[in-house]
Amino acid sequence: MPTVELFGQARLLAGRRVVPVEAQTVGAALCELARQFPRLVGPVLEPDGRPTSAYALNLSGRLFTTDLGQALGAREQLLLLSSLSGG
Amino acid sequence: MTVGGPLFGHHGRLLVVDLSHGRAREEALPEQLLEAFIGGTGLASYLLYRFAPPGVDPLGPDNPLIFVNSPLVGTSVTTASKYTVIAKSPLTGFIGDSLSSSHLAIALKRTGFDAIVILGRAADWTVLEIQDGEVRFHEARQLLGLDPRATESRVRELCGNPSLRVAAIGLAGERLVRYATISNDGRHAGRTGSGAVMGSKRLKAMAVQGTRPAAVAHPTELNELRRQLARISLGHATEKYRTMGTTANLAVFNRLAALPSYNFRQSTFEQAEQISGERLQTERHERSVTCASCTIGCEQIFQLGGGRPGTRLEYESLYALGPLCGVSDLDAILEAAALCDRYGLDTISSGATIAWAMETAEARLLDAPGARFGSGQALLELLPKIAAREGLGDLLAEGSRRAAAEVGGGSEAWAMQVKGLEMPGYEPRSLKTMAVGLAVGSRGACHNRSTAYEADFSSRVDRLRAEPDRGRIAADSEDRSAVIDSLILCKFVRGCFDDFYPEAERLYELVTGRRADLARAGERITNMKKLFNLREGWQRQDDTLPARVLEQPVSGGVADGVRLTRQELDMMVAAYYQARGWTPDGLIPEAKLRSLGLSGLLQALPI
Repeated sequence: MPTVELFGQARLLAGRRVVPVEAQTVGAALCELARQFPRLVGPVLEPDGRPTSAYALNLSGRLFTTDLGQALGAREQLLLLSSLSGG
Repeated sequence: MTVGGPLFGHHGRLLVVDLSHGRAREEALPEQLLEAFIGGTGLASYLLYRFAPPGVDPLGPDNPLIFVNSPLVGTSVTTASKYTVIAKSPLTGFIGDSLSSSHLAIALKRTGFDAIVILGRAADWTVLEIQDGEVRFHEARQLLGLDPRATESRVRELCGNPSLRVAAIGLAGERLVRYATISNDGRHAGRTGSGAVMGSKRLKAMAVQGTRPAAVAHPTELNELRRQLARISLGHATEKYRTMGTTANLAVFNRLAALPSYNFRQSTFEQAEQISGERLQTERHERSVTCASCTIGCEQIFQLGGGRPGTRLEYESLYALGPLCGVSDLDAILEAAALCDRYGLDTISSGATIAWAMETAEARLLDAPGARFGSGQALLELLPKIAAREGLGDLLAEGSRRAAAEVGGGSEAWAMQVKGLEMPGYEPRSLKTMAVGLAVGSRGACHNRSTAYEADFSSRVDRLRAEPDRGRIAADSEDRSAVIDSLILCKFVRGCFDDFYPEAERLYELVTGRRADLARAGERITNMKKLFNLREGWQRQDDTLPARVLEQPVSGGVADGVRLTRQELDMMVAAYYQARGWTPDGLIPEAKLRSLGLSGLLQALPI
C-alpha cells in the first residue's frame, strides 16, 4: 500500500509522520488523506484534495510532480512538503 | 529607465563620515545613479566600487563600511524594513554585501540620507551618533566586550536618547573575527564579516534617529497596494515561515538527501528527526517575533534549557551547528546559536569552520582533543574561543579556508567554502541547479543571493542531473534576488507576487514616481558586483565548489551514489556565463557593459 509522508505544519496538524493510503493515483491518495484528517483541509489541502499553493508533492524523494493523475505504485511514498523552499 | 518628474522615495544625499579625523560631509547622489541601481544592495555595490581603492586591505582604514537603505524602506510595505551593509569582505577578499532588518533600517532612512559611508579608523573605540544631519562621536572604550543587545541599551544611555536605533558589534567584531556580524534589533547582518570591518575601524556602534521621511509619489495608490500585499502575505504564500519558520526545512532536506552533515561527508543525518523543525515546534516553541513593518513574523524563538529566555533559531543555524558538526543535542544547538548571537558570529561560518576543525582533529592534523563530530560540548567550548581569538579559536576565527591553508596536510580539501565563504545547508550534488548558484555567487557560497534551489525543489528540473539549462535558471534567480535586495523586500514575501517583475515595477513606480525595467536593473546590479570582484582579482577558478563535492559521491539517502563531476560543473558554469553574455572565461565584454548602461554610468559618475 502506498504511503503519504507529511512534513511541516501538515505533520503537526495530522499528528502523524506517515499515513498509509488505499489509492492508485496521487489525487486519490490526497483525497484519502483529507478524509482521514479533515484538519488538513484549508491550510494544507483544498476541499477537492489538491494541495494548497503552500505545499508541493514529491514521489519517493526523487521527482517532484504536480500531476494528480500520476499512478502510485504499491510501495510508492508520496511526500507532502512545503513549496516554500528557502531559508 | 524613464525620465519623468521628481524622483521620490530617496533623499538624494549621502553622508560620508571620516573616523580618522572625526568629521563628516554630505554629497548629492545623482538621480541617474539612484534609478540605475534602485537602492539597497544595488546602490551599495556601486558605492563600494567608488569608495574602495582597488586592492584595499579589507581590515585597513581605507575599506569603506557603507550602510544603504532603499526606496521602499519607510513606506510600510510589508517586510520593507531592511538595509544593506557593504564592504570588501575580510573573509573572501571580494564584495561583502549583507542585509539586516527591522527598526534600524527605518530610522536610517529618516536621517535624511540614502547611504552612510564610513571611512578611516578612529583613534580609540567610538560610538557614531547620527541624528538627522548632525553627527557626533562618543568614546566607547567602556562598551568593549558587551554583546550587541547590551551595547544597544548602553549606547542609548550614553547618548541620552532612549529612542535611538543602534547597530553594534559584539566581541567577535572587536577581535576582527573574519565572519563577525553587525547586529541590530536582535537581527544580524552576517556572512561576509562586516562586523570585523566595523571592528577594524574601532567603531563599536552606530546610533541613528531622524525626522526626515522620504516623500512617496502616489501615497493613496501605494496604500491600497500595500494593504493587498499584506493580505496576501497572511495566506498560503508564507505559510511555512509564519507557522514554523525555516527550521521546517531540516526534515525535508534530510528526506531529499540535500542536508549536508559531518562536514559534507554525508547528505543525510541519521538523527534529523531528533532536531527537526517539527520537534522544535512541538517541544520548544516559545513565541514568534516580527520585524518592524512585517506581517509574516518568521522568527521563531525556542526555549533554552533551565528556564532561561529562549533564543532564535533558523534553518541555516540549525544545519551548521547541528548536522554539519554531527550534533543532535538540541540544548547544545540552541545554546550555540545563542552564543553566536551574543558574540556577533555568523552561524554558518562558525559551524562550518568548527566542522572543518573536527575533521582535521580526527585526521590528527590539529591538536584539539574533544573537537569530535557529535560533540555539542566542543561547539560550546570553541565558540567563545573563536570570538575572543583565544588558543585554537585564533586559527578558527580566520575561517575555514585560511585555517586549512595554515594547517595544510590535505585539510584544504575539506574546507567547505567557495571564495572563502562557508557553504550553506544546500547539498550541491543533489541540488544541481543550486550547485551553479553556489559556485558563481559574487560573495561566495550563498543561498540568499541565488535562489536557484527553487528549481531543484520543483517539477521544473531533475535536481539530480547536471544540464546546461541550469545556467540560465541560476542567472535569472540572481537577478531577481538582486532586485529584491535593492528595493528592499524580504525574500520571504516573494511568493506573494503572481508575476514578480510587473508587480514589483508597479510598487517601485508608486513609491518613486518613475517607471523602471527591474529585470534589466537586476542584471545591471549583478554585473556591477562582478565588476568589483574583477577589479579585486577574481579569476575563473574562483567559480567552483570544494574538491569533496566534485570528487566524492553523495553518501546516504535517496541520492546515494549521485555525483557532481568537475566536468559537469564546468559545463553548467559555462552555460551560466553564456546566459549572462560573458566570455567563456567569465569576463564581461565591453559591449555587455554598454548594453546595460554601465560603461556610461561609470564614466559619467564620480569613481
